[in-house]
Amino acid sequence: MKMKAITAFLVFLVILTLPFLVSAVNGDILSQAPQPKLEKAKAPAGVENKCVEEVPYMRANHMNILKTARVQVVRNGLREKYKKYSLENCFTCHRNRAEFCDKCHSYAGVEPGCFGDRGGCHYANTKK
Amino acid sequence: MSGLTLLYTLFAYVAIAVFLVGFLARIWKYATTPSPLKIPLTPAPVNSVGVVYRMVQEVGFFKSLFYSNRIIWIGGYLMHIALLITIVKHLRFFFKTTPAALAWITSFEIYVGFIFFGALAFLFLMRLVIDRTYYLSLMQDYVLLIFLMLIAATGILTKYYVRTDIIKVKQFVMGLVQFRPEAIPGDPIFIIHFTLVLLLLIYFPFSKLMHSGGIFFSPTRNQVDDAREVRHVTPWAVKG
Ligand code: HEC
Ligand code: HEC
Repeated sequence: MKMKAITAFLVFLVILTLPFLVSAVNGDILSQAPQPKLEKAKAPAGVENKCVEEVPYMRANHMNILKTARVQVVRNGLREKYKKYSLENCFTCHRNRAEFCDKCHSYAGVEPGCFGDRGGCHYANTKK
Repeated sequence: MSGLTLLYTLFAYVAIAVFLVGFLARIWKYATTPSPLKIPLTPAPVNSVGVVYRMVQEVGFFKSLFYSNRIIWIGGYLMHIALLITIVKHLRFFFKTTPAALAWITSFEIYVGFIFFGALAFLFLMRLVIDRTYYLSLMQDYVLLIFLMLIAATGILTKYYVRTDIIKVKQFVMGLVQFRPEAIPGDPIFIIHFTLVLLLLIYFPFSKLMHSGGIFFSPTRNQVDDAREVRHVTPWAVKG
C-alpha cells in the first residue's frame, strides 16, 4: 500500500521535473544557457552587406518571408518581384548553410522541409 | 538584469513551485486515500494485466466517455490530442539539444493550435447548449475553458502572425531550467502567453485539471474484480 503510493508519487515527480533532471545529469545546472554561434554573412563583391530586411525582424520572421515568397512565385508566378527573397539570394551572403541556417535550426529543434537532405528539393549539400 | 526579467524569473519559479508541490501533494493524497470497498465497474478485468489494458483504453481513448456521449467525446478527444501534440512540440524549449525525434515531429506543420482552439470553443458551446451539461456546469468549468482558449489564441498569434524570436525564447527558458536567468523576450504577445501559462500552473493543483493525475486513482477503473478469490482488506481496517 505505502510502497504503491511511493512508486506513484515518484513516477509523477520524475515526469514533471524531467527538464531539470536532464539538465542536472548533463551538468548544465548554473551554467550559461547555450547560444548558437552563427557564421557572419559575407556579401559578394559590390553588394552592400545588409540583410534583405532588418536583422531582428529576420530572426523572427524569415520563415514567413520565405513561405510567402514560395507561394507567390510558384502559384502566382511573381518570380521577378520576389527574387530578393529567394533561397538562391539568401545563400549569396549566408554562404554556409550548415554554419548558419542549420545551427540555428538544430538549436531550436526545427527541420525545414525545403532542403534536399530532409526530403525537400533545395541544396542537398551546403552551397558554396 | 532588467526589472521585467527579474519579475518574470521570480514569477516563473513561484508558479513552478506551486504547481509541483501542489500536484505532488494531490498525488500523494490520492495514492494514500484508502479504498475500503471493492467497487470495480463491471464488466471488470479479473487480473492486473486486464486493469492495465482497461486504463490504457480509458486514458488513451476515453472509453467511458465514448460510450456515454459521442458528441462530447469527439470534442474532448480532439482537444486532448491537440493538447498532447502541443505539449510535445513545446518540449524543444526545455532541453539543450533537441532530440532528433522531437525535431522531426515538430517539422510537421499541422496547425494543431487551431484544432486545439476550435475543440475548446466547441466544448464551451456544448456546455451552453446541452441542457444537462448546462445544468451541471460550474463557473470553474467555463473559466478553465476560457483560460485555455486565451492561451491557445496567444500561442497561435506568436506562431503565425506576430512572430517572436524563438531563439531568445529558448534562451530564456533554458536559463530557467539551468537556474541561470536570461533576459525575457520583450514581445507583448509572448509575455501575455507566458503569463497565462504561469497563472494556469498556479491554478492547476486546485482545479479540475487534476483529473490528469487523478484518473489513475479511480477505484471503479483501477481495481481488479477478484472479490471472490482474494479477501479485500484495507490496511487501516486491520486492528490488533
Ligand atoms: C546582401 C547580403 C544578405 C542577403 C542576400 C541575405 N542576408 Fe540575412 N543577413 C545578412 C547580414 C549582414 C546579417 C547580419 C548578421 C551577420 O552579419 O551575419 C543577416 C542576418 C540574418 C539573420 C539573423 C541571424 C542572426 O544573427 O541571428 C537571418 C535569420 C537571416 N539573415 C536570414 C536571411 C534569409 C532567409 C535570407 C534570404 C531571403 C537572407 N538572410 C538574405 C546579409 C544578407
Ligand atoms: C536566428 C536563428 C535562425 C537562423 C540563422 C535561421 N533560421 Fe530559419 N528558423 C528559425 C526558427 C526558430 C524557426 C522556427 C520557428 C517556429 O518554430 O515557428 C525557423 C524556421 C524556418 C523555416 C520554416 C520551417 C517550418 O517548418 O515552418 C524555414 C523555411 C527556414 N527557417 C529557413 C531558413 C533559412 C533558409 C536560413 C538560412 C539562410 C535560416 N532559416 C536561418 C531560426 C533561424
